[in-house]
Amino acid sequence: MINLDAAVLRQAIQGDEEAFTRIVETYQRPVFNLCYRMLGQAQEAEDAAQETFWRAYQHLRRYDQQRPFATWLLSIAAHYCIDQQRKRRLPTLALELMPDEDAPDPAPNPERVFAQLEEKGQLQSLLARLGPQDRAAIILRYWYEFSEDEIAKTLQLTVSAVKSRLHRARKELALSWESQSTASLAERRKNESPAL
Amino acid sequence: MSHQPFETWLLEDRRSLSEEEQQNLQQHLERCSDCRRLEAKWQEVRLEMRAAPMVAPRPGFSRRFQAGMAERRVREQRRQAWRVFIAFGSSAAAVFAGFMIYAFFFSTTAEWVQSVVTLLSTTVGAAETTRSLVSTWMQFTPFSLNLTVWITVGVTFCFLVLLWVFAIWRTSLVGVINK
Ligand SMILES: [Zn+2]
Repeated sequence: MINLDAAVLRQAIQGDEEAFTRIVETYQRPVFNLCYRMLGQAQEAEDAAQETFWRAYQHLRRYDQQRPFATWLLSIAAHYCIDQQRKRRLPTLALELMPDEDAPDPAPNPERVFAQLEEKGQLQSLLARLGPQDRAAIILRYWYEFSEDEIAKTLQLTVSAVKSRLHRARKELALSWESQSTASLAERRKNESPAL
Repeated sequence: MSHQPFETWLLEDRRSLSEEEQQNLQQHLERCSDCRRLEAKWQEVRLEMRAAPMVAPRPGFSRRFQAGMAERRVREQRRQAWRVFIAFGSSAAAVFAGFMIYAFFFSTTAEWVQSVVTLLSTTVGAAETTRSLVSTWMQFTPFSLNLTVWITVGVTFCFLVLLWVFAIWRTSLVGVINK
């Protein structure tokens, strides 16, 4: 992930607000993406991302500089989103269209062709079926390339708990995707049949 | 047919499996349509997730953060001003009540009522002035103010309240008694 200039971080820790704004600019995208994947709505993701940076600002002195800064920041975001989900106690089934990306990807990903589920919002509705902690583990694994060990540290779980959560979540994702695709196939057949 | 450990394996990163495990998994997949279907669906979802972009917030995120920070700071200052006011107000009330009880035992009812009225009216005025003073002052003070400073200010304030109540007590209550 993006590496922050150590000098900027030092300045921010010493209370330099301009330096902290630079941090916000550097990490807004990964933090927002985590919140969006967790919560499924752009406005809620915006609020959660803002809250994440505010909490980071308040607790900057407690940041252990041995840890990568991004991991620390994402762990604040993940915990906040998990709490929000628990408060809500309802799965995020209300979905909206994808928010705009603020800049085109510098290097277009050849795998973008696969992103069909994403465009229809189906990927978010699959994620929404997972429990908040399982969802956080999956997001950190597949969007941030975190190892099981890093996920464990971020979510304050044991490595074996992360392994079993990932396993359960992957199976759930595969099974819900199967039932969604068969349902949409049946729907299409039903719509096509009068014409035949 | 038992799907374990193949189900666990197929949902894991293939690279973490030994060559033998990979072969066993392959053999099981050829025979078991359930695991084959699960494998196919999982691979579809995995590729979708790998391909899904990092979503960015609306433009102007850091500007909104700065604005929000200023707002939160004002709110935090106001809350702190209230906390200070409540702390000082309740210590003043305690001192006031102490004097009332004291005066109750050492004066007649009429004198007591008169001094209570005088005290109350000055207290209300003074409290309002203090509150506005504190909140104005808070606007100019850094928000994580040193604890020692707070304690010093608090002790001084309580001492002043004591002095002030004592002075009022002298002029109202004792004045009446001495007539
Ligand atoms: Zn099987």
